[in-house]
Amino acid sequence: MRAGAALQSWGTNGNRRIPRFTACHGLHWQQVGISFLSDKNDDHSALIVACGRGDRAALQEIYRREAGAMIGISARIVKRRELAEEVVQESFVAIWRNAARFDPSIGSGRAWLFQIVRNRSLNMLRDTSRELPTEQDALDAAVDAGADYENAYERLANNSALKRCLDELEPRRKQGILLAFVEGMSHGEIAAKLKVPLGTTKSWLRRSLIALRECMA
Amino acid sequence: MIAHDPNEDFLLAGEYVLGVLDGAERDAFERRLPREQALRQYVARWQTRFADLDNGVAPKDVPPALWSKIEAQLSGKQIAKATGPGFSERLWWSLGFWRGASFAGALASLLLAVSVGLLAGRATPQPQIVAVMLTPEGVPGAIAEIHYDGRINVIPIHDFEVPSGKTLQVWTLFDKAKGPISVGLIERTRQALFHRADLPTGQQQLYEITLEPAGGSPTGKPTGPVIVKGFGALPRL
Repeated sequence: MRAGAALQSWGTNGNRRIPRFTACHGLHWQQVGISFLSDKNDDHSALIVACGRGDRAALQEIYRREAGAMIGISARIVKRRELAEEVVQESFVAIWRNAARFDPSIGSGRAWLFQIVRNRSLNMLRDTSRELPTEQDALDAAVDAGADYENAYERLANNSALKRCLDELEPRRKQGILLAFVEGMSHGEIAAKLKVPLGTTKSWLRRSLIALRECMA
Repeated sequence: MIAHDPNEDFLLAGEYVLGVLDGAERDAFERRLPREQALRQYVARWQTRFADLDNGVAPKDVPPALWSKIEAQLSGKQIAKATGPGFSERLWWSLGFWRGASFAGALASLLLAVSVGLLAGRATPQPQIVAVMLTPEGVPGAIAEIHYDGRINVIPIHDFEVPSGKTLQVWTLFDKAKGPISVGLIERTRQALFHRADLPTGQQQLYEITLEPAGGSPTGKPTGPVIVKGFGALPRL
């Protein structure tokens, strides 16, 4: 689905319209994949703890399992494959360095790993934003913009609580949350994309967070 | 210590995980994280809420060379590179250091050291840990800024004397069983930057500089006199 068609499907007039790509039957294999991965969450925590004790083999096992997903997560934000690979390289150094501070009693190991990737991707965006993009980069970015957040949404399992709760949000607010989390957009970029004032964007996101917290409690 | 509103913190944690805090806000939030358990719990809960969006990501092909690049970076080059504008155009390791200083002078140096370090850090992400290293007389002689990404920036704030055939070696001690681990040699006459992503970055981790034979300690542990030493601490920003 191209970005233009997708935008229409999300609606921009405040209707609580459900995007038409939600009724997708092609998700079956993905659900299998997701449950397989979440079964391994405890493993991730144990591997991170092992890294904290200086076990390089544990780091390599994290790499073997997650490097591909990490490049995927970073590429949604930085948009360029070589930058995403650089982010993942830096992320593994950061994982190694910070592993001793990971507390497995507080949260999921996999989420902790991905947070590092997302933070480094945002740093990369900040660092490279002053570079003049080439014409090809600009074209790629234009094609990609708006596609990644949609794909991420489409790939949510039908029984995902997050999906159910996102669907309760007004479409543009849902879009704002997805653009921020999936594509790493700033308040300003979201405001421009949704054509609403900056202050409105900030308060929308905050109220959406409150709604999600209540919905997912 | 500023009192924080839990509801506000919960939303702030949500914005952090969402990725919409701007650079300064995110840096400030991350500085609070190591000290505040409640904040870490909020972050973990938001991560869990949003995890499905990441768990469903389509993995990309991993280039075969990536792991070896990571390993190379973790092994790190241990010789310092001279960086940035020099603190001094002249040799800073001169006799002046040992002349001693008044307490007021020492305090002024300390304040200067901290402010210089933190201002210098503002151009890039701010240091995670700062260590002010003192001479045996208690005079500040050098500071180290330790960054999340493994950069250790050693900034001299006094003149030292290094006889010919000798070098200065930076060490850190984080595990008494392992003893001091070499951070690197200071072979140039100015601020030195080391890339040591393999080293931990704890508070109360000791940093010190010793005088060693040229090329570094032959035993891998400090053999010469301690020039300066000090503990890492969280900068209160």
